[in-house]
Amino acid sequence: MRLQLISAAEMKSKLRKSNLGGFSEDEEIRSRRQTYAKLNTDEKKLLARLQFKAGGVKKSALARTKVDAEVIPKPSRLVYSAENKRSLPGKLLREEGSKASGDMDTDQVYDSAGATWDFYYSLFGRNSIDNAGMKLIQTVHYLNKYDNAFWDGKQMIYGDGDGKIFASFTSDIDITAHELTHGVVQYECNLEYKDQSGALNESLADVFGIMIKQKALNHDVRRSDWLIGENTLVGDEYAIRSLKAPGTAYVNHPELGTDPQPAHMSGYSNDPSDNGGVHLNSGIPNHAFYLAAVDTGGFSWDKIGQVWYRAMCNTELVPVNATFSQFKEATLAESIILFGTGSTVTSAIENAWNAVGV
Amino acid sequence: MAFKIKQMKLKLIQTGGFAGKSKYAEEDLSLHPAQLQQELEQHFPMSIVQPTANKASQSRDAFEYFLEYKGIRVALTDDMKANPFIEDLLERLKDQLHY
Repeated sequence: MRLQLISAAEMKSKLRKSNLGGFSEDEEIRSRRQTYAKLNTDEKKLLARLQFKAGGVKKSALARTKVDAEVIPKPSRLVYSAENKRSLPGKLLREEGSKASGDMDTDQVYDSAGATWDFYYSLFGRNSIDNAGMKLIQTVHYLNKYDNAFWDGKQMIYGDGDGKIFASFTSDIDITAHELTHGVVQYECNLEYKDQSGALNESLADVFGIMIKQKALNHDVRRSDWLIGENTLVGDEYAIRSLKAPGTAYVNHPELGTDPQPAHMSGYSNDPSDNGGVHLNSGIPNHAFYLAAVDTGGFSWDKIGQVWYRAMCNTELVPVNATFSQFKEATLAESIILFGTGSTVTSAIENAWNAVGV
Repeated sequence: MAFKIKQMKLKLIQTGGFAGKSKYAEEDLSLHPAQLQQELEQHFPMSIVQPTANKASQSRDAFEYFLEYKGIRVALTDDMKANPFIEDLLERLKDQLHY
């Protein structure tokens, strides 16, 4: 047997050729992850910033940096169909880099997950849910006429909806981004899913969900509708939640009644059937984010989004059982670091939390 | 010995979900054999307890299910779902929860 020295690139090529299906893709992604992990924080931020300015993850962005093109992380998306059964993840319909499947739900969540990955990477240098290149696994067509989408701790799952009250839960980019953000929270402050920490968990999912929709549509804070799930809840006048005006996303809906979310602590309620009202009380921090973003102006992700992301990742100031007040303090602390004590951004954040009674 | 069964309702409650709306379906157990109530009672504590979320679970926005019987609410467990006397009834109640 003769030993032969080959370059890393040649080795990678050989690995690709010698393996089948997703494994060669795994090797490539693993290699990118390892190289990316060796960069220091400043290098990661520079890379992300250059790619963001170039409009996403493009190799052309690297023309302005000395970083090796192989370093660029990229998403690894896998979309399966449960074929209206309970089995997970189901039958693989589309994987990273493959052409559109022709199944509308599959292609919708593939694109939405891509936009979500790109948002986190280009703005925060975050490489996927766990910041270590985790695969984005999604299953569509779960059960029959299933009225829900959820994150199970490892993957996202979407129902087709009943078709009368709810359309497919793949219909809105903000829902996909919401579920992916539950994954991000799990790997960061890991807020307990009950009471105020649970409502914060839900709120962070909505806040990043709306920002990812705004970024995809290039909407600034004035142009955005600030609605979550407006295509999923059937009817032009309905959405599932509103960050601008919690409690008004749907009014006098024939089946659901009226949106029960409060926008202020005076409306805080402990609903034991929903882990202490996690889907209700999230309206309060949601509205604080809206107020701060509108007061600051421009694109929500430019300043207020940066503060919220840093707070979400600050496990010292945001413990797993964090209260709204603790999260408020975390946003203020991060804003002071980024923009200064007397800055308009810090004032906007403080005023916003005060306005919702936190 | 025959005796009259007092009307007693079993309620299946679905909570959570992305939209955060609770729904329930109920069944009058007086229409079922008495043994069904006896089986059910094994799964219910004697006093009211507050249902608690599974802290270890990382599921978010998933539906959660509770059973309410004689004013006591408990989380639906695998034991209950596996009980052959209760299994069919639970499936029927779950079907009613669809819009």
